[in-house]
Amino acid sequence: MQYAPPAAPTALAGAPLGSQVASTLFANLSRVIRGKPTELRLIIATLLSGGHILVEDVPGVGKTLLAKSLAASIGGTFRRVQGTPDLLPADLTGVAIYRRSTESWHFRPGPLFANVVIVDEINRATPRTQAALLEAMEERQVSVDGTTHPLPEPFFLIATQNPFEHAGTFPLVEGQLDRFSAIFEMGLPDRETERGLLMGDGGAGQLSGLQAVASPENLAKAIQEVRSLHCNESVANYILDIVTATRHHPEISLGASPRASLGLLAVARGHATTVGQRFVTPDDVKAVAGSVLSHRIILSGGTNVTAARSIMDDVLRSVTVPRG
Amino acid sequence: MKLTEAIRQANLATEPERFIAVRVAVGITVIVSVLALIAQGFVRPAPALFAIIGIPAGFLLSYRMRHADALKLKAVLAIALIISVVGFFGELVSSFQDGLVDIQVPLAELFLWVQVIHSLHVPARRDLMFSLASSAAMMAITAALSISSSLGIFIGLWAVGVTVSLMLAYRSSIADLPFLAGPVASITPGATKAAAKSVTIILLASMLVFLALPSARASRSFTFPAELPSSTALGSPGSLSNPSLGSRANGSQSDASNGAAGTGYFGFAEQLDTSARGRPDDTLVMRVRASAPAFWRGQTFDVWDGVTWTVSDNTSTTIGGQAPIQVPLTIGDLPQPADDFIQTFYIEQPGPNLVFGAYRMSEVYFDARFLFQQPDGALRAGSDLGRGAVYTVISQRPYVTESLLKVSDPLRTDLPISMDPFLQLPDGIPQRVFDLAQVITADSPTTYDKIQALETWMAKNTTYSLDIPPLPDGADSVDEYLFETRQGFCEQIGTSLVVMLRSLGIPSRLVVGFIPGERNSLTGLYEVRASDAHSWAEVYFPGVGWQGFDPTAQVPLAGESEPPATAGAAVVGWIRDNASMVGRTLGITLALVLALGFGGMLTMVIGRIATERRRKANRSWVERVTETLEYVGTTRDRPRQDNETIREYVAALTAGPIPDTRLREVGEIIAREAFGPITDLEGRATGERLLEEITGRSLN
Repeated sequence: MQYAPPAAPTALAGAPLGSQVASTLFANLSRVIRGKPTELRLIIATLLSGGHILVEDVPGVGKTLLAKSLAASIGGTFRRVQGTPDLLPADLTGVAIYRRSTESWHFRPGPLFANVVIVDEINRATPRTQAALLEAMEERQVSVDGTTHPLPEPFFLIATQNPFEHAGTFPLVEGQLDRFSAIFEMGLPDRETERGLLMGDGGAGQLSGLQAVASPENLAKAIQEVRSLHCNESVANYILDIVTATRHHPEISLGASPRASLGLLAVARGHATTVGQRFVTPDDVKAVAGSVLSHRIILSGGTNVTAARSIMDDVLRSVTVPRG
Repeated sequence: MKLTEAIRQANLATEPERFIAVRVAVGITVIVSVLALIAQGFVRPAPALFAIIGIPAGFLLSYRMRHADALKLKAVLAIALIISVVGFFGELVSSFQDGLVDIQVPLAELFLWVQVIHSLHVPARRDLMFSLASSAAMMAITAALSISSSLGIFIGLWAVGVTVSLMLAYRSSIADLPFLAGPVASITPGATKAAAKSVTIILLASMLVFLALPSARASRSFTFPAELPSSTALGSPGSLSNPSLGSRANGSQSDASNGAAGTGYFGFAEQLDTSARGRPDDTLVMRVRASAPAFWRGQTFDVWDGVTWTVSDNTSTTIGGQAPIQVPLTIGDLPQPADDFIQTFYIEQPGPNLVFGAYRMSEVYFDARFLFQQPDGALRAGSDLGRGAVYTVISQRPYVTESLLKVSDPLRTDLPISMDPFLQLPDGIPQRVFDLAQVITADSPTTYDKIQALETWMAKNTTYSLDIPPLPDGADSVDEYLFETRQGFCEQIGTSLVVMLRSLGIPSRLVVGFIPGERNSLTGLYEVRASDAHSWAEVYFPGVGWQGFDPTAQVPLAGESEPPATAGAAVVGWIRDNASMVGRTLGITLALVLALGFGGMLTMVIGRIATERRRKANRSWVERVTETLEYVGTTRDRPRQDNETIREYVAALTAGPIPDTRLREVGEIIAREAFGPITDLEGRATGERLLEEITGRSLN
């Protein structure tokens, strides 16, 4: 029996800021993205952990819509980049231009300088561009011509890729995948939800009516707060048990790295915040482990996120949860 | 203070048992244990009948009165219990005064009374469980008293009854829990599996325990049972009766074709006709409780006429008057330093009225004031010894060694005049019999050696067979056996030894009785069958007394002298010949392995228990409450899995149509206390209160 947290945590007065942000974000996003409360919660958890997301799915299931509504809800700046083989690093980071009026080099920031950035079909960009992008994700800054320019706070990147088209793509290598905090499959909506979409319930139509419910400053504060959320030693041990189990699983040739365990705790903290808790429980770890780890392990039979997910389920079944 | 509180708690009135199935199952189980006790024959008919009728009636009555306030009934029952205990001690005292120290019957009856009285008031499940426990005690008593393995059937039935009763009671106790989503039936598949699992484990464990236990020892007899069922006194005191002799008892036994009538042995009579042929069957004649095997002697013969043994002096002396009956020494008996050897005989088949026992009987516990002693020491009862008769004999077994027998040689001593009858031989024994005796024993210096030589010669030159041709008219039994057929059974073999010894001037006589019989390792009793009837020789040694010799044991079975045909047969033969040694080695090895295994298991279990106790004492609030919650789940047939978080588990438990919000709240409180940064005492109190509500019992 899967434990289902309450659909939307109530933003009580005195609740942590992160929880308040999470609950309003959740309510806002739900108006556009219908029938995906679990995915929404995970995305908000990742957002609150300060991580980036890779969405892997076929076109037309609402990947871009999700990113747009997120940007709209946060109320910050939003940029979108389409991954193509001729996309250059400078197209992302921006370039220094000589301005004759001032007789100086002036930096013109690229699309990365925004609070929410969508990189569509990241695997169609060249490895060089991908590398530049991923460096920005990790460092939260870009260097152009020897000058370092910090990216805005918060900086949240959503990359998408289509797992079914491989012609003309440059698949992300493992080291790059590791930079993403979590990976999601949007999945097809159920019949009920899809009919609702046809009848005008949710979807892009709602996007225009979306109000910003959180300011970038609030979000940045909330992320700070989530980083210091209480975590018991027993929960930390549970995380270690899970990570160790991936390292010894017969079908996994390379288990999760220490960066992965850090990421798991961070996203679990985010998840705890989305359900209005001031501490991490094993439920939070369990809820996010699949999304956080399945792109970070290398299977003996080749990389396939769907297979990795089922193996992660297997791992979670085999690990004893802390008592309580 | 704690104890009195516990007693008070235990005596609190509880709800009457709702499920009639529990009541019926417990009732049947109790009846089975009562029947087991009765079937072993330790209870007199009247109390037995009373119990068989009274217990079902009591169960019915207490079912109908289960809601009534039974204070008066309780008082009456308490008084009845006290009376039965007093009665038990009364019987014990009177049995001491009679000198028959036998508490088995009163004890069994006391237990029966307790069962009957208790069955009158069993309204609640707790009372039913007490009934079950006391039926266990009764089975234990029955098993301790039992002398036959027929008890096994009852133990099996009883075990089934107990298992079913406990399962039903457990089901009923689950139904009592407040908050069970769905009907009781929903727990059955899992419960059945668990029950089957635990029954298997218990059976295996008890088999292990059974194998590791020392086998039943008959030597632990602490009472001297003696009992005579209703019996007909014999017409003339001191006379001999033997149902196997039929109407020819004490009459002339000239019909030589078939001496055996009925199942028994025809040798327990005034005379023994060695021309008679017959083969007693395997009917169980009696059971003997004794610490060691021995030959159970019946009587002796001293006069030989070439075909028939008779008794020279047939005058009976009355002995006894007080219990136990002291048995005086008779001719040839000498007081010897000896150990007490206690034997209890349980007669299973009407037989001769001889009182059997190992040589030399000194005291007899017998349910009659008097016994009759023949001049040769044979004891006869004054009445028939039918099925159910029990008597206990204490014998002084002289401590005899080979060297002692070699030193005290009847040939080198002036024998008392009373030994003359034991040297008499009739005229007409062929001279070659005497010559043979002389030739065989020529090189033997002492009487003991001569006996050995004669036995060895018979073992080499004759064979044992029950199927020997009839004795020709006018032939001498001994001559026929030693020179013509060279086949015979114990009568011919024993008689030949006596005749040859007498021809050498060594006083001897023929004894009839039983060999020890086969020991039933479950009951520890020797089971003596009609075919175990036997005859052997007794030789008088000056300063020692009568000493038995069994030449038959040396004589090989007819058709067994061939060497083993195969190596396998040789191995089998060796194992058979050394069976006791092989068996002992195997037994000791097995016992050691079992003991080690069992000891290891025990240590492990004790260690586990100690660790568990320590853990329980040191566990935190979260652990304690979580365990209680998990216990609630287990009683609802949904134990927690290792990979389940407390919330997932609670979600599973409350998945019914009407979710128990209290359980959810407890789950949340546990999660908060387990993983949260602070301790919320108020929350803890709420959680405890909710759990107490759910389980209906105090958490501490």
